[in-house]
Amino acid sequence: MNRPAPLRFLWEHHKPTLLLILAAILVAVFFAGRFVVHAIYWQQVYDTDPILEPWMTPRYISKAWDVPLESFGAILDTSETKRRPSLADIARAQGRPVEDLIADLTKRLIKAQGPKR
Amino acid sequence: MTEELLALLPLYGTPVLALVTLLSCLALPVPSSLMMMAAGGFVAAGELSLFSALAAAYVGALLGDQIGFWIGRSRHAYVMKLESRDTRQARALSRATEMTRIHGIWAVFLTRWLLSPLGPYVNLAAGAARVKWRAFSLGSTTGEAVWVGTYTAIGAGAGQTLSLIWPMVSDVVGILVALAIAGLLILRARHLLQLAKAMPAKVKKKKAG
Repeated sequence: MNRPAPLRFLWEHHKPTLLLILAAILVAVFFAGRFVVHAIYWQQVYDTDPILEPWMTPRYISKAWDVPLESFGAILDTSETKRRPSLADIARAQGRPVEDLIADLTKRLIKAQGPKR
Repeated sequence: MTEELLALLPLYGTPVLALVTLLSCLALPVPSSLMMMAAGGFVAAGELSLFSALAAAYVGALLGDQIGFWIGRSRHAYVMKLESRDTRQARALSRATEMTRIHGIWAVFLTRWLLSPLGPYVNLAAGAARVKWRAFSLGSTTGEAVWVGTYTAIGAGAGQTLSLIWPMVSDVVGILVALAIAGLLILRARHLLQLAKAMPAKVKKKKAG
């Protein structure tokens, strides 16, 4: 048996295939690394402030953070008549930047959730 | 763009979901899995109905699959012409389309949900390789049901952790797709080695010349 080792044979005769295998494995390793980074980030932010986004609706927030809608009080008062007004819609109706509304809402949410576990 | 698309969900409701899943099956870069997870969150909050969210995402995905398949199928005569040439590449192509016809249904099923980024290309390839429409549709209907159901359920259960879970889910999908491609290439390398073993002299001579 004087056949060269499989890897050497592939390297000599089918370089593209071998390089693509290597590239695919490197991509898998890259995503595995990113997964670890995201998991660590999760650990770090889990007990910090809630992350509210302009596309969320009050009911979505109420359900996701398990806080009754009433505890947000007048912050969400608006003349907005859409079926599912988002925070962006409400802020627009109140005539202020959505970041302002999110900041107020975040404070109210932290208060309503009570002391951290 | 993701934020803007998510904002369309409370604004227009489930038709947006159907449109996004349809476009994603045609390889357009829309975050359809994230949209389904967000829709799951809206369902849990009572903003959207479970049935209409599932139905919209499912119908959009099935339509997108069929469009991709028939675009591929419209090119099948060209693929057959390529296969009929008497070259090594033509024989390799012929072998590839034959493999697709035999195992295509599994490729279609798995690339609907587990390896979803590959889905649009599998649609085209299945059509071009003359996979039977019934087999393709069976893979598509079952696979898309798993995709829609799984992501909507994750979204409904995620609650406040949605924005944290989403990047991790896409990382896992990235790992799986990369490993699947590596696996297929390793199978190809093994096949090449077996060929070389069967006729080592010929391969060496050809490569040398």
